[in-house]
Amino acid sequence: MKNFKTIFLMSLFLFLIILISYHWIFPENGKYEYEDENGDLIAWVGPFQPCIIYVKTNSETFESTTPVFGVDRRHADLAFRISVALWTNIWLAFIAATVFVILAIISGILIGYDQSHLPPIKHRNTFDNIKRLRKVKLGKLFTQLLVETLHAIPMLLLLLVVVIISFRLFDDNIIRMLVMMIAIGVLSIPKLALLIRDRIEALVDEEFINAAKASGLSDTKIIFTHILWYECSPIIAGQFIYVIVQAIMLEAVISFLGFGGGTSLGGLIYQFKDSLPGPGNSGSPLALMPLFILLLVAIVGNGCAKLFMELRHE
Amino acid sequence: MIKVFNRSLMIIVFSLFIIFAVLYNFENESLLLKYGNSTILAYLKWCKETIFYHWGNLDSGPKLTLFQGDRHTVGVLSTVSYTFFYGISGLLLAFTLSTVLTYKTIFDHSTTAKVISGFFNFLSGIHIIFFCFAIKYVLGHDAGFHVYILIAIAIGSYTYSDICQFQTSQFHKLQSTDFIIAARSWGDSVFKHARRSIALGLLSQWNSLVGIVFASTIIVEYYYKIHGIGHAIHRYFAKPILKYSTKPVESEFFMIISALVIIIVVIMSGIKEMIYEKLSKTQQ
Repeated sequence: MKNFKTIFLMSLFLFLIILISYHWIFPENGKYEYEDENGDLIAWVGPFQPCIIYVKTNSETFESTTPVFGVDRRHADLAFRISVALWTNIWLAFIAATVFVILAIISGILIGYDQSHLPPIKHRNTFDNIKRLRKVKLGKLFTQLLVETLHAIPMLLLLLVVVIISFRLFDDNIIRMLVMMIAIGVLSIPKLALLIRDRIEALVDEEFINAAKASGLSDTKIIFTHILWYECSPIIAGQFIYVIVQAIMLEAVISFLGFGGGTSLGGLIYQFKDSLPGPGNSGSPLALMPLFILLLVAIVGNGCAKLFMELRHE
Repeated sequence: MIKVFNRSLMIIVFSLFIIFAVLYNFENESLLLKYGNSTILAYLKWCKETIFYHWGNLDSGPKLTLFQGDRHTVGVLSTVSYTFFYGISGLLLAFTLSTVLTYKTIFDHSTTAKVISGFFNFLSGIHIIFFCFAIKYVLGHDAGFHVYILIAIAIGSYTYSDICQFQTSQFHKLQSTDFIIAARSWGDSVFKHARRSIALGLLSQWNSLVGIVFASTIIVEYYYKIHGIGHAIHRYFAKPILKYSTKPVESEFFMIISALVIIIVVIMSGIKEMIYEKLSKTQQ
């Protein structure tokens, strides 16, 4: 059963990779518009229907069939647009997750690792003063307050402030989304920072940490090698994937509210929302495709995060 | 008690300062600029005015008050309380559902409960926005039937799975404790002995769950235009800003809404800590 799940997950992952690569494999599809045999532009037509392709850049036409996912409301290749959107979402979410991991690790170490055993100060210079600051744990107190504050603010509330402000400040959709992703990364800090803190607190009296300290290993070495690499890496990897999925979902939500960019999955959902099928609504099922891809991203992301967590327990 | 109070106050002041600083510094013609030229002084003045119940106005004129009066006022409390009650109801539903299914799975070895719980766990990994789409387009509820919405809040966006995962590991540990083994051997109800630990489990997860549930409720309210923070965001922020690019952001409204939400969350967290401490002491 576990093997079946892993194989299923890997197949979905592979499908998403192929879908992302689609716009690199067939870059010319971005310049095509699809017409019926009378020369009229067509919208919401299923895959592999006979049609005439009109090349926007040099006004050429040739006969073919509609692409793998069919044609969308803008008379363009739906698979190409979804591929571009998915790629945009993935790299933006990676930025959010990278910001998150870096800041959360720093915060987690600062609030978790007790530095009160530092040697006494002998000579007074700037460096020693900084050490003194470490000794009174100002950094720890400030980071703790910051993490607890971020933990207390409902994420969507602060994210909306950032989104509304960046909507006013920047005209470029990509820059707006970039700001939003950095905000998601920063606002997600408490999740991992508190996990790392708890892990450090649980490990700090373990024999292997005492042995490492006794054998003269530096704090940096103990933190990065023994605590973060050996003990916390599955948690960090799991949370990294979780934030990627979360960032993609939040982008969809924000775009759905009308503040997103057109080149992302959320942007496509927003553009296609009037064409969705439903009771008393003459929409096309093809308009559900961005939502379906988003669902696949959630399933693959959650599955991978779960695998990492299982790895941790093993 | 004093320590919890001080910490809570510090968190409220600092978190509101973060929101104030963003709205004050990055909006060209922010409504908050009337409080002063420096961010800190303006924030302090805003705090003073808020404490003295001068919450400001909307850009279109209506005064911000706690309760809705005539048409020249906008009541803030009802907006926040609707979101709060929806969220808490969703959270309690998720907790009850998870407790029953996990209890049945672990203590009664029920396969049906395990399958249902697994299915809910899978659904829980799906974002709340999918549930909104499903309710609207598959079930055809334009206004969003309230029971569906509560179920969506309870299950979507990891709410159910977070509680269930925690309870699974908690119940496994509980199963091997002496007092549960003794209760079982006497033929006594296991639930009677386990309920204090179950309550402690909910309390220890409280902080992380409240944020998720608030976000889910805001999305649902925005989507179905149900009275609450989500609808207020749609009405006073998203709609005017998307329609008129020169209209200022309703910063004062946003600040007071944020203040109420954060105060509620922090107070609840403080109460939770006190109950947790009391329950832990009684258990020892």
